[in-house]
Amino acid sequence: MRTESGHGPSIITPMEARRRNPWVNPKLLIVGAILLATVGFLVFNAMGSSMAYFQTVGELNASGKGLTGEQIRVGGGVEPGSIEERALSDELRFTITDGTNLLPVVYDGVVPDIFKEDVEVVAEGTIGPDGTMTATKLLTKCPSRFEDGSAASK
Amino acid sequence: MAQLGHGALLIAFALAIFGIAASVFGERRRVPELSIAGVRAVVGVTVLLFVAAAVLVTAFITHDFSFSYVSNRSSTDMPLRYVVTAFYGGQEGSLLFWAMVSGVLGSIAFARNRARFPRLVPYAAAVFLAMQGFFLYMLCFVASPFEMNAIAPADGRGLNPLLRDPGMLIHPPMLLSGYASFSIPFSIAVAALISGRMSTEWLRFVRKWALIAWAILGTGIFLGGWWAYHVLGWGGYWGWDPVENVSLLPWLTATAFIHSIIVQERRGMLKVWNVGLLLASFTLAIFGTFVVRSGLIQSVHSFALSNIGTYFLGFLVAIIVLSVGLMIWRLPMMQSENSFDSMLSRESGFLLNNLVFAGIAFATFWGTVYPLVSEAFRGETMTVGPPFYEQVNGPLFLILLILMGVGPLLAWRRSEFSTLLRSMRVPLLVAGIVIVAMLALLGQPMAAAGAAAAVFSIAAVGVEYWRGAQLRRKNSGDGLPVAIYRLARRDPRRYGGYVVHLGIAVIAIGIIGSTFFQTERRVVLREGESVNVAEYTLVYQQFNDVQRGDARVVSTTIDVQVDGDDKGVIEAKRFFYTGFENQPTTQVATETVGFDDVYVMLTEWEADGTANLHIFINPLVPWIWSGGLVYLFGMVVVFWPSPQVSRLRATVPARGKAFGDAVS
Repeated sequence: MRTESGHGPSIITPMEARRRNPWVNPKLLIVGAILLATVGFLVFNAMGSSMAYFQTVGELNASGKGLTGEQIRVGGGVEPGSIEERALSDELRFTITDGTNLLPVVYDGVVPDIFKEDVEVVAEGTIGPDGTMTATKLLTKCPSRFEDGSAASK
Repeated sequence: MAQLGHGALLIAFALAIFGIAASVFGERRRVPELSIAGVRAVVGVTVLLFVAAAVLVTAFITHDFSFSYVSNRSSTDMPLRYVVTAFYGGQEGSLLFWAMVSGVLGSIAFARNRARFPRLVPYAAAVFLAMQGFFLYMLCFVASPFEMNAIAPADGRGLNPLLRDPGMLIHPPMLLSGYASFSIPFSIAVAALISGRMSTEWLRFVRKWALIAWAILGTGIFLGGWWAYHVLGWGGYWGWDPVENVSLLPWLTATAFIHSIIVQERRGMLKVWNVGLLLASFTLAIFGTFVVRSGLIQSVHSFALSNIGTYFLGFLVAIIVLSVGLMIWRLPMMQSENSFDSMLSRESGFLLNNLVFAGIAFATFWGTVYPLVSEAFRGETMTVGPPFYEQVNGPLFLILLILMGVGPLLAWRRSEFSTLLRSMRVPLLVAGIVIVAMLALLGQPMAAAGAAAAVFSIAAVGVEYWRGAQLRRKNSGDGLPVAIYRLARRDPRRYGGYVVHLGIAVIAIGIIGSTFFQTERRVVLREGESVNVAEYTLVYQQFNDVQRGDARVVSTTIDVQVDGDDKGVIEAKRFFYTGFENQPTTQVATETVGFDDVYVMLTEWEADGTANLHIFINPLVPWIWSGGLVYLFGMVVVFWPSPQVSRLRATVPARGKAFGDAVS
């Protein structure tokens, strides 16, 4: 469109020509469209491989999700008395609960600082045929007393 | 005391309302005295906010536990500097801090520019005071920092341990300041839309304040990464957590803005887009605050949740309605004066850069709100993790790195491909060497591409400096260092901007190194045992468990060796602060050896000293911090006062590259 009005290369463009001059250059439009398509493709593609269901233990039991081995994130409290004694090199075994339903979890990784009974946790991983979750990630929700301007706990 | 603080806030609230009325009537009825009063109200509100803050800080320093805000966040055994940190460590204090920071910036912005922009500043002051009014309302009636305890406790609860770190002295206030400072460019943009004064003059005004807000927010985000790396102990500095993402969003749109505004200044194009980016940046800053405070999206960051989320939602909706409404109303005023002449031109480069930034912002936003979207439309909460952001944003950042190198070499309006190729000879050559060498030695095509792109843009900055300096030397006979200095002084925006580019490229190299080549090991060791990780041998020397002042400190000393050579002894510590024993904090042991960070976190231990250590070898992480310093230095160059030049620029026609382009 740039030379449509015939004023493209000159620096000073008459007012009337200016108004008719759309700023869109067709080539640029194509590049822009390619770029947007790229973003769309990247988003779509990455969604497929990194999406995980987030459920409570109860929702998990009701929906039957995770039975086919997909990634899930389960939120709930750590059942009192469920944390098994272990040596430092052993994996961590405990149970997540929403009050009524239970989900046993095995986790081999860094145990969060404030992990203990009754703490709210989010475990991410897959559920095996025996109904035990093998977690690859374990996050704790901080106790309500926690208060600050912008702190984190990973 | 508390009455003084509360009273100051109430008066400030009233003054803000008066200021809004004065500004608007003063401008509508053309009563300059009233407009001046409006600007003075901005200053007055700020002074009153300082009075309130002084009351609160005094209460902290004197350990006045009759203030519940004080007793909930500090204790007598805390070191003084953390007592002061506690001031902005809570909900109410952070609101006060926000209002204070924006107050200071607003006072400077409006008092200094009232005479220069007499039609614009009154509306800006009114918009600004309306926002201050919102914060003051919250501080007076919803989340007052001056609530009293019925009975003052003997000692306070103490500050959350995670906040007791030098990084915490500066990261949260910087990030809050960043958010708060976006209220200035927002006010100016809204004022321009309301008054219809959208000619070139407001651009310089708004650009400067957008740049300031952008610099502060960027520094805040950067410090957050630095803090997380040294304190949280998970071996990284950025986790794509919702709370991190929402702080990145306004920074992304603001970065896009400071680039595309140059196109508007030079060519009178992209007007709607630019105003949109400005409004979006502040909206996203408020969105971030709302997400953080409302607990709407699950995050590993935990904040005190309270009803102020609802108020922020209202504020957010008001801002969006106002922004969109004004934009639509003024659409006819924002006609483009020119069109894109060529694909291969500086303005097209900027446009592409903007589209990529917008793409990154969109993807990040989408991933962050996806749990809500999926809940609403599918009835199931789905989340996306860090891999999503890495897969989407990684390639997009790669495109940006390349554009960062190519952009400055493009001419305005139209570039010849052959000319461009000639000026890119050296950068292309260097990038080619890097990509071949990396592929041959390390494999990892993505990492090689990223590193090559970063090196390419560093070389491009070199070319720009070299060209400019050569030209100066030819004309003036200066030596090379003098020529470079004069060059930067002559056009700080442009050459400071290149320094910022340099910093970003160095940061990118650090991110690529630590993302693609990190080594991670978890081991259980007894005292005296050692472990080999990559080329390093780590000898676990000693276990300590002592009570120190306000905390119990558990530590392990580790000797780092390479081929039998000692590289230093480091100490990984855990702190159990009194009153927060169930919430230990970490001090990671780090030792920089050559290009690598040896990074050790003590995760668990037994009484006999057997320790579970999480060891990372993080290549090039120190580059990230050095890149950050370069970035800051670039900002100093940009903001270094340079008389005359700004005036000169306004009269230079839009062609050539002899004068200021800007932070490009």
